[in-house]
Amino acid sequence: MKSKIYYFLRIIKIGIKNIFLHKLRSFLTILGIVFGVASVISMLAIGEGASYEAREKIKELGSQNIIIRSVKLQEARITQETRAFVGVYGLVEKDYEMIRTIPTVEFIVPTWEMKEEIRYGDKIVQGRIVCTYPEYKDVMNLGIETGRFFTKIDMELFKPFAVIGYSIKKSLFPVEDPIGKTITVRSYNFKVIGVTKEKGLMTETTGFTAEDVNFDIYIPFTTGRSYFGEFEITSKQGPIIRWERNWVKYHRFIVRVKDMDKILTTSAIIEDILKTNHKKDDYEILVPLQLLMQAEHTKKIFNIVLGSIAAISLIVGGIGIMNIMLATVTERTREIGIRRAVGAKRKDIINQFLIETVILSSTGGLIGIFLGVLIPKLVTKFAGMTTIITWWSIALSFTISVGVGITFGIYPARKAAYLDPIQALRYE
Amino acid sequence: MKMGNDILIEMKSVKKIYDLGNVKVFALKNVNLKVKKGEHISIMGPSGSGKTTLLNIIGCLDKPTEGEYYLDGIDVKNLNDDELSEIRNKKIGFVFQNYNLIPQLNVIENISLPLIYRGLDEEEIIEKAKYYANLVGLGDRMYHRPTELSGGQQQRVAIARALVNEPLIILGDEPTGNLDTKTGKEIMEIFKKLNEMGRTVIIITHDSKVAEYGQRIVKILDGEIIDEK
Ligand SMILES: Nc1ncnc2c1ncn2[C@@H]1O[C@H](COP(=O)(O)OP(=O)(O)OP(=O)(O)O)[C@@H](O)[C@H]1O
Ligand SMILES: [Mg+2]
Repeated sequence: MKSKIYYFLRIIKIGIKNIFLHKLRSFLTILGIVFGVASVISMLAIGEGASYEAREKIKELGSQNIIIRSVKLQEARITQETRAFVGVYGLVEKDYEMIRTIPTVEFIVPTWEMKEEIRYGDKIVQGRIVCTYPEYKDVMNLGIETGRFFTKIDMELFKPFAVIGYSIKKSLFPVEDPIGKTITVRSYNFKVIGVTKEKGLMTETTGFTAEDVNFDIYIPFTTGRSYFGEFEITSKQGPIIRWERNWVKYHRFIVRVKDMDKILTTSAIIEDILKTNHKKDDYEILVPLQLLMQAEHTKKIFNIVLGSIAAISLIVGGIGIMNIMLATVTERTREIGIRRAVGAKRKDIINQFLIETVILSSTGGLIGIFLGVLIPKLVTKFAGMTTIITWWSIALSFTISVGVGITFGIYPARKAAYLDPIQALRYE
Repeated sequence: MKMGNDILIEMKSVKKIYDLGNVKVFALKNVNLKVKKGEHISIMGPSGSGKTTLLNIIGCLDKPTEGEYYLDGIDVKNLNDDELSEIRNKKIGFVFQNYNLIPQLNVIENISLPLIYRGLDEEEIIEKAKYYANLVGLGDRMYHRPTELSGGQQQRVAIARALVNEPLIILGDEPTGNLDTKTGKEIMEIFKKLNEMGRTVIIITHDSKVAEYGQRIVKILDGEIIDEK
């Protein structure tokens, strides 16, 4: 047993010696493997990063949700209504009713929103007031840091309650406990009953605007409607600040679909409904599941492209290694004869040349792993893409490089082993 | 055993024919040879007469095309490649005209080669290799490469390598052929000493002075033994 280890150690030592004897040649030989392995690892890291991002986004938006948003159109400003300082856009009651009655829809949560200053004592912070239903917490996966979210009863009773986002809490209540305190929006007072957990910001890959939900404050829909009505008032930037009034019934619907499988058909139905109800494209449908599918699709294409590059460089690399090993066998024909004369069996010769090939290819593999870890880091740094290097991708590519060594080393090694010892000894 | 225990090599009408397609080369035509344990034999003959061919067959590097060959009672004809390798490893020590050392390996590593294929432990390999390096007078050159040694020194390494597995037979194919007379004589003194210690020694040579070391001179011509004395 011990002698077997030394036997292999000697072979490895000689293998390394021979590789270092021809440094440049060995280096050029393994380039194919280096690039092959590097692209395998980078490919997997970039793909893994993309699907991680998609999964995170899904988590944020809810994979069983369909989100519909009102969109204010640029052209709306030059219509007659605008001249009268009143615009109309977005989702309406009819939409709400029709979507609510689609059989595959479990429930629908509407929102009405406005950007406004929120005050507590002498502190002021700009936030987004979201008037909504209690289910909003669940469909949007909001966690509660302290206190509670408002309930159905709160809503029915038009309670002036507010649940504030994490960043609002930090701005208005840096040290105090916000629960039970009164905050003011416009001239209305709200009692803080809860604080939501901090949420990470989504990175932007789909053109859907991600809001910093940490600056949200949630109030019961009924309360909001009775206080703020249905007019959205925004300031228009220009040489003089002008106020713009828009009539918006709902800003968002979050539609929860009963069954994951029904999401795509449901979103098609919704699209039909909205198309018939709206003359203009003043809405936007977002299907988180579709985002995921798009990401998976991109990942697949990416994998096919880089996978073929990797496969080609590994095969070319393997052939290069085989070529060099065949040359090595010829160069060392006499050595093979000598070894055979002193008692080396064919399998000893095979071991020697095969191990040498594997040392060569796995050295390429190691350099490739180094590059493959470096490239995704650079991609993250310069392209801002999320990349995730997995341990198994490193293990896989190392295994591949060893596999390439064995596959392309077996022929030269056998050729060496089956040389006639006498001919080999006579070789000049 | 009918031959008696002291017969080490027995060849009966051994033929070696190289078939080159359109021509057949009869390297050995009809060789009958017996060698006893502990003998020192010289083989002589003109170039191309079949000396190397004969020695390769004796050393199990090659098999006869026809005829019988018993080595230490073993019928070589029935052995496969692995078994022949094992015989070369344990029973035979080759010394060649051109030394045939592996240039990348140092003296100790070259001497160790047969021991590696025998599967000995590292300590034992090093110990034996050092012992034989000292025996052939290369104790102070153990970590030198072959290219850093003189021809005589290289041949000593080759002899140490041939001896390291304590084989029954030492085969030399013109071991002094590349050496000057003085160095050749030194090498032959080593062979003589080995023979006195009980090893069977068979040496091919063109040099009658070298041949005289043998107790018997076998003369070959055109693949046949024409004279023994
Ligand atoms: N592999 C081979 N293929 C064909 N012919 C061969 C082969 N090996 C040897 N021979 C032929 O067999 C004959 C004997 O060769 P061998 O090498 O035994 O001669 P030798 O007596 O050792 O000669 P030298 O003194 O020159 O070494 C020669 O005619 C040679 O050409
Ligand atoms: Mg010869």
